[in-house]
Amino acid sequence: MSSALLRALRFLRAYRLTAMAAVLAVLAASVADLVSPQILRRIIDDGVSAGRVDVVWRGAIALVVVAVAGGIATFLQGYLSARASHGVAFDMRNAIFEKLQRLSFSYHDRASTGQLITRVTSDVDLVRDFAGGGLVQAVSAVLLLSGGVVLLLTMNTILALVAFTVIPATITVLLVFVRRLGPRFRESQKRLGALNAILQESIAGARVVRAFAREDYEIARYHRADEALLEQALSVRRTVANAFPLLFGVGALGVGVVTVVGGVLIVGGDLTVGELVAFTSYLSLLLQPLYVIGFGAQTIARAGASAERLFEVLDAPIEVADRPDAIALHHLTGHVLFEDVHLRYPGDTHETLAGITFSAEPSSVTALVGATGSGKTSVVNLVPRFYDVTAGRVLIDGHDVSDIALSTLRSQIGVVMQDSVLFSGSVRDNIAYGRPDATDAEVQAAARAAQAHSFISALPEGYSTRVGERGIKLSGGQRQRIAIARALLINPRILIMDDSTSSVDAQTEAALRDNLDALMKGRTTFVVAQRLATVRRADLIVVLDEGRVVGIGTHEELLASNCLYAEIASSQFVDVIASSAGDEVPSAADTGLRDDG
Amino acid sequence: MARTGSLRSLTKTDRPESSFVTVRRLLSYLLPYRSEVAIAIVWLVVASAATAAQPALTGRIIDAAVQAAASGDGPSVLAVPAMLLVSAAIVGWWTQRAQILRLGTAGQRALFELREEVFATVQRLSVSYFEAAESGDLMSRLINDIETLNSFLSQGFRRLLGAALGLVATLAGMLLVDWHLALVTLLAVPVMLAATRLFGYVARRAFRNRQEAIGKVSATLAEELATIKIAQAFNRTDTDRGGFAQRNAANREANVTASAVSSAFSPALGIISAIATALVTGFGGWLGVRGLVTIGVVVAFLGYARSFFNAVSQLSSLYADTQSALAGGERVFELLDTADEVADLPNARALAPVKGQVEFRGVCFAYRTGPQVLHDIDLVVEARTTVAVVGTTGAGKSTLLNLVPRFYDPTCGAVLVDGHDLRDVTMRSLRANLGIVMQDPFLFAATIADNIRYGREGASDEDVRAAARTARADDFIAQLPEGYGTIVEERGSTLSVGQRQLIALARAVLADPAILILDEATSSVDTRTEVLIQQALRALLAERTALIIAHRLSTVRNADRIVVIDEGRIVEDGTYASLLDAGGRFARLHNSQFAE
Repeated sequence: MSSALLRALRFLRAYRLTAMAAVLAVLAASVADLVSPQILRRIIDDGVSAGRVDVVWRGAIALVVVAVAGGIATFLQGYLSARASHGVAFDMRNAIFEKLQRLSFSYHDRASTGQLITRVTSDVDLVRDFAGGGLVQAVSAVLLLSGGVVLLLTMNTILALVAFTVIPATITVLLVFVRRLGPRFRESQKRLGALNAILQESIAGARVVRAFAREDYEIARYHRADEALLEQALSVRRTVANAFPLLFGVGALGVGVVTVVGGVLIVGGDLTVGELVAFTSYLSLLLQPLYVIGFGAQTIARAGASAERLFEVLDAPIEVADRPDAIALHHLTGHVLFEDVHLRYPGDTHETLAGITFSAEPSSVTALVGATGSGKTSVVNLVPRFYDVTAGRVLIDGHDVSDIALSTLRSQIGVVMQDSVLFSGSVRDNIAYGRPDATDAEVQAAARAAQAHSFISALPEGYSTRVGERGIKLSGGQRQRIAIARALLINPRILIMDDSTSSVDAQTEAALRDNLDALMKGRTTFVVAQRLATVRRADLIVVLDEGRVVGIGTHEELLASNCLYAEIASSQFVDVIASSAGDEVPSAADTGLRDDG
Repeated sequence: MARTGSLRSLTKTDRPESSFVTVRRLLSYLLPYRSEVAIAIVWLVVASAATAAQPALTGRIIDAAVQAAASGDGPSVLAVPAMLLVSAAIVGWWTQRAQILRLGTAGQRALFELREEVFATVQRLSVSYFEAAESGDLMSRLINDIETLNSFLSQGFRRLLGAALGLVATLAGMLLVDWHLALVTLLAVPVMLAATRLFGYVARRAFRNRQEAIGKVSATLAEELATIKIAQAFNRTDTDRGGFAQRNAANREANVTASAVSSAFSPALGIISAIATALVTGFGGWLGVRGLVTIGVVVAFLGYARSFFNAVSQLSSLYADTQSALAGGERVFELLDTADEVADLPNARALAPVKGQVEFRGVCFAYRTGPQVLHDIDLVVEARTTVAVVGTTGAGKSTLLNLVPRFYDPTCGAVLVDGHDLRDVTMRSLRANLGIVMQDPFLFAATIADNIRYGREGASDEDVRAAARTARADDFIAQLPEGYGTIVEERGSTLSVGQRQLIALARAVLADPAILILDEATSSVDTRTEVLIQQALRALLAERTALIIAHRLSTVRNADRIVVIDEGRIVEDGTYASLLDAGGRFARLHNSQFAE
């Protein structure tokens, strides 16, 4: 058994009484199984053969009593092991979910949602099956096997020895087939997974497939994977067809041989008919646990692999976590200082940020500009400590962010991320996400400030409209404005807007900007934006290129001194640039923009 | 059992006539393999007979042994029944093997056909079928339902046949050996059926609850994982954890209840069959004592009773499996039968390569039951011109452009390309003339080169690079660890939204279409890169028709013509300069972005 599986069994500790009761129930059920053949023997030998009807009927009643007792024990076993095993699953799921909630951004950047869902659902189920059903069944199998062997030997040694030859034969067949079936089955599951991945992708990317008329290509791709699966599935079927009939055939043959040898013994007067009947019953009883153990071995192997995957998540280091002596900072002033900050994402070969230094004064607006991939988002992500720096420091009010308790830090920072994620739930719930106890008036005020109130009011059910339901299609710009309202509602000391108006039309954005000017007052604000109309109002503009600060200053200063900034500006403000910094305008862009103007 | 069924499946299976139709349709997939299936059934009959002969032969051996012991004959009298018993075991093994091989193969091949058909249907369905909220549901339905059908076609069906034939064979064996005892055994059958029905009723409710509970856990889990960053940013992880623990606990309770029901089922059947066996034993013993039957018959009946009740309880548990397979089959067929909202007409023609004139003629549109989004749009876009569509968010710009590739059909009016109504031409031939870059760039889990090559199958590496250069994606791709061979991961954290947009743009450039549709194709790309892209696209756009949506007015100023849309209507139409001079809506939009 793998060590991960043993470790998983520790989850069973909380339910040890239930589990022990389940084992007792198994014991009782096994005893009932072992007693019935003895009753049959008495009915036949002392009743039928001896010509005593009363013995026959008493035996029949005893059979019913034993069956009822055995039935109750079997029920208790099933019920109690379900209690224990679902308890284990409950604790495991909670543990994993809690861990996932605490794991930092860098973990979630690399993890695939589908795989994490598999961890929480089917991997937990496999381990549960083992911890509950599998373990109890194994105990029951061992009990039945050893009890049966002892009983057979005491009843008739010669016949027992004949019967036992079935056991190694069955084990051999089992071993051979489990070894053959296991890898084939796993391969077939793998191919099924690959097939489903294609299906999933072609559904998620349905528009792209349609847009480029690539349906035939997708069908061919699926067809290839499907044929590979069919081939493997047929091989599994062949193995199954070879395995199971042979296994049961060996059993039937064994019972037949025992019957024949028993018949010979009866002729010689060395065995009674009742004993033979009891004997063949025991033999079938003996074979069951062998099958259980044989096929259980596969379950154990699969549960072991699942347990390993579970502990991979549970043992993953939390990169961003509170220090033991973290300070609770309840009232930030909002001074943010980047001190020679370097950042390299795990698995990357190059540094995304290579020595960033600048200072954002309390209540000032800092704009970050630069090309796609220059590191703007990475810079602002360091303020709420979504990632830890590789070198250097980020200081807020003079404290290194890694010394501040995360909950106090993040509760004072409002973030509007690049892709505005909305939750299924009402619009109100989405805005009040960071402060579920906010009043309706507060929610509406935040929505007004984010220029979202008027379109929300026009929705069929206003603020109660549920997002993501049929017919309710919010545009990219509308989603972004809800995300802005969400950030504003928590009344943050530091506000981060990461390209949060890229899908908002110019007119709405202008209105938004006017509102935000008022809202930014008294907050330290970081703005990542492409549009210069937004950027030029900032108190400080930081120009980034390939993870370095290549320019810093106000709009006018940078226009005059920084050629990269001038280039960025020229791409939008032809007229402004033409008058103030004409020489720096790239000629191609210039002509490109002028010849239809 | 019903693990993979959903609420709908369980309520639907109550209609027997539809179950019958589903069964017939499922079996029709086995039709091409009917000779295989027929041979397999013959083998199955032989196997059942061989198995049913074993108790009778055991009885014969015992009777012969008892007689020999009494009369003093040697054990040689056992020879014939002994040979028969051993041969029955061997025949049983061999015929079972032959039967499983044939039925298993036929089942897998049938399933293969079904999967192919399902996938082809998914490819045929119109885009509206895949709106975000529904595609997750569609996915899990398809995968679960096909898996349920798999277990039915590869095992359930065979076991069902086997148990049914076994039951018949056992019954025949019993009647042949002693019909009095056979009748006593049959007494238990109605009781067992009643118990099965009762359990079926209770179990259905318990399983439905369990299904709903696990559905709640995994549905919210997917969302919570997708939004985990926001949860951390807004300090909501504790609340989420509490909610999860609650749903998780509900799931545990539902599971324990369902397990209690299913753990009670087999012992209950066991007790009923034990009572019946006891009756058979008692009655048989009584008959034996009176000398009406031999002891061998009594022993044979013990064997028969066991296999008879085994077969009955197997059938009752297979009943549940069959029900969920039928429910799965019904949903799969429902998908296969889905009528397309947008489909090729039977007499649709293939559209030859077009010049690129696009006309909207009196077009209006509403999403399903939603309000009307477009009103009476009349617009002619001449071939080889670039038209920019501007307007506030939610004005209907994307909706308008989505009508050109026929993602949707207009509710009234018509969209024409080169004078052909789009409904008269095949969708594939239409789309072969189009290149589209959407608001939300979708990348496949494949290499970057393959993602670009998606635009034109078989394009050379050099063509792929050239397209990437035009889209200004070449620089950042070159910096990736594996360059064009870098695999795009599912959540694609290595690529920013802007970078994804550049790849999607390169894909459309590579497709070399007559009509190019850019729906905020560069909204997350920085303005400097965008200017470079525009220069590069300039030569490209001169030879084709382009429809562009952009919020950045710097992006649209190069257009030959600008159309302003407001609340689903065209409100202004003209060149950049003329609209500015007119001082209307566009001028206001423009000023809000540029004026200081």
